[in-house]
Amino acid sequence: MPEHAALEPSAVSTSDLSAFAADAEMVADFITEAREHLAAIEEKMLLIEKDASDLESVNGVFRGVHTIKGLAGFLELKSIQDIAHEVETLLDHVRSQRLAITPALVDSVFGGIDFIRLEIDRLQRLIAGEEPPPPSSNTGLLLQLRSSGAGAKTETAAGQLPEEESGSEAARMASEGGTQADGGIEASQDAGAAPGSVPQSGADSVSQAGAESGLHPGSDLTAQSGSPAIPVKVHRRREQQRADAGHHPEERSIRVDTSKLDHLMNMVGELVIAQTLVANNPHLTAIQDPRLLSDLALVNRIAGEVQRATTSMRMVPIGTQFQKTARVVRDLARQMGKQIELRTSGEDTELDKTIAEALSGPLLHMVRNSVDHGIETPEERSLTAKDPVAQIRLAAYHKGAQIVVEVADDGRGMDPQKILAKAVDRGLVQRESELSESAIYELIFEPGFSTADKLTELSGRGVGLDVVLRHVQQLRGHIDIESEVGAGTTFFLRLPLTLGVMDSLVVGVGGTRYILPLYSVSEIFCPAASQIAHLGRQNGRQNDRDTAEAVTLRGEALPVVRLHRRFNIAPRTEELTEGVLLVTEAHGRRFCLFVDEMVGKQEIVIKSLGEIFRELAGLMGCAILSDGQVGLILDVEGLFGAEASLQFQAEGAAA
Amino acid sequence: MPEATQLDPPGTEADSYEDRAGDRADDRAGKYLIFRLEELHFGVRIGNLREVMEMPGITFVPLAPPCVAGVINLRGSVIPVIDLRRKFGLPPEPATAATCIVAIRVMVAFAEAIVGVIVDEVLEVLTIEAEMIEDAPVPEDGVSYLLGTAMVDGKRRLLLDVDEVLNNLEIQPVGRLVHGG
Repeated sequence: MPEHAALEPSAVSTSDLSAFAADAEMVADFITEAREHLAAIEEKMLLIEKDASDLESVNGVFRGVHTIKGLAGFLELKSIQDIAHEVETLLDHVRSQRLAITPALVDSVFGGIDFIRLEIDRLQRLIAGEEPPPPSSNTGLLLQLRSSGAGAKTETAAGQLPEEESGSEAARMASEGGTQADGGIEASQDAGAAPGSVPQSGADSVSQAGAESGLHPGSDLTAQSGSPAIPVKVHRRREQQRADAGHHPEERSIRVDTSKLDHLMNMVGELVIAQTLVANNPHLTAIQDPRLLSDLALVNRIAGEVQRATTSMRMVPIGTQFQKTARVVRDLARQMGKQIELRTSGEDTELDKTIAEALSGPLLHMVRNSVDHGIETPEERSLTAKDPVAQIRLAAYHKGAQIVVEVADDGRGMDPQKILAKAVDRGLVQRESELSESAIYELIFEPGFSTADKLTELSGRGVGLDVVLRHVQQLRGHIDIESEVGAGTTFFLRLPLTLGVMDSLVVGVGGTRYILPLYSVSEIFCPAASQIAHLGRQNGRQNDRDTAEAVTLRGEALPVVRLHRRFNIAPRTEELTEGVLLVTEAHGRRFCLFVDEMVGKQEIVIKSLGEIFRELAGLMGCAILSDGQVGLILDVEGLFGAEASLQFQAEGAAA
Repeated sequence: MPEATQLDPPGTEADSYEDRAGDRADDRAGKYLIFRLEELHFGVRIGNLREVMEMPGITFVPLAPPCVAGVINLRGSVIPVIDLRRKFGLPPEPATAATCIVAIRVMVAFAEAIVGVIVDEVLEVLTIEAEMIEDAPVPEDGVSYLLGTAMVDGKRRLLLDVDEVLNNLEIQPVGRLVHGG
């Protein structure tokens, strides 16, 4: 076999970046484009695995891999190019039905995809000027890919193979022409969009085929690296390959650096505030001119519209994040011998790009956690009369100004008593503590807590749910859990839709104004004396934490947190009946926040308080209020710490 | 000669950054904004200066270190404000018409940040030459937050190392630095 001879040169990895370091922009384009293709390829491969007759997807995957190969070729990224070539060859066999789709074959393709992805990550770090991880060798993978395709080669008629391989590029072009003609619109669009590109691409394919035909099959890649000598030609080929990639929705869109959007977003936020400042100017409000008033209203409306439009520019559907988990579920289930069906809904639900991307890690971890700990083996499931095929359900929907992402499995569920016993065992809670169910579930977010009796290779890597929770909290979100033994567990991730703008309530304590996210407050009321109850230590002057008092609201006893005590500031009033209570929720428990007064409602642009205040608990940032002053945004989860929650419950139970 | 020194400072400053280790006296020379706290005159490098502003409304930040007066809105960005009187262990004084905020560029956690400091009065900009600068006495128990001191027009000016001052929010009484005790 001549292929093996070719292994050595092609195993030499990317590394020599000097060749294109000058054109970092081009490399950056490649990285973005290749990542998009990889995501699409992965998604389509999963479809193909389910439905082998899905030729459309096979062609789609083929085109994606082909594009990556071509682009990698110009940039002389040999390791990527080689792997892409092998994957492409495999897919070509699949396309011409010389190879059947098996899980093993899908594994091989995924192996290739993963390698390319790693190389791209490496590349990105290189152009960012960082120290990249050492290049990984692709030799083993190349061999594996070739052996996957080997079956096909021996089976095919001898006459067909050489032709296919020697004139491979030309043959592929031809077959691609065929597939594109099927979806005739695409082909005509290409021609219409770039007149003259057709003959050019034809010439390219001929020259490329010519260049390759003289070489050994398998060694063509290494030789190809010298081919893009003429920049113009490179450009044309790029265009052609772009067209190859098929239906690209971004033909009607442009790429914008997110930092530019961030800046725009900030400035629009400032514009809205500045407009409020003008509208509230006392001299201006003294003028009773109907014309002026209607003009101000117009400015107000336009500014609001501009803000909404800017915000919407950063919104992306969550579907992409769901797709990433599909791959993980498939791989893990295969690895662990579990049968799992992944169902998703609400893929179109939009959220801020930054949040969507930051959500990706936690989401993957939760899904991994479900597969690993939540779902039983098919045998176990059969024993309990469950469908051996388990389900993991991902759902996303909007609720108020938040997006809720549900990660649900129909696995074994969590036993609160077991969790509690373990928590006691680890010294996380007192032995005699009586905790509500949701408080018990929250214990699994404690660092080092794991419900699995033995650590598995998958989830026992030292990264626990505590990290997930921290990530989610950094995004100003939180997680709720519902679980039933034998029926499964559902995690509810609640996150803000955008990081930038937020509807908020402004409250006052002792002459200072504080801001609360509107979504975090469910009710506002002034308590009557009869509603106030004291628990535990009868509100002794010494060390009287807010956990010692509560108010009864419609039969429910809610602990009271006095903001002035938490912040050690002088309030206008100490009497609960003279102030205002805001009902809010933290760590799965409702509680009341006591403040002096309500000031109003305002749309705010969230700003960071900066490094100096990084450690302050109970504050999540700040914003500029309508009079130009800075207001501090309260973090209710931080204000009502987890330990306070447990303490209250313990006292409540004791009282 | 005097004219040449007038023009030189920016260049000297930039050059001296490179060979800082070689000649320490040089890199301290340059233009300083001089402000007053009580009767003490402090200098901040012009290069560290962002702007000087009147006292705006300051938002108090609960649970922050004691020398932090709060945060202010500096044309859309929020910056922390340090009460230098508290920082240097001086008795509190109500603000006067002369009280203002000097916004300074500092390095916080390896990134540039703007921090405001409250001062009693901003006085002038002085060109301080290398030969005027003396090393400040280093206190036994702490880091010096002075680059040095300089006698100009018969008055001692304390040249602040702003990165040192503003990265450490502990109260650092100024007395022992001045008197060398």
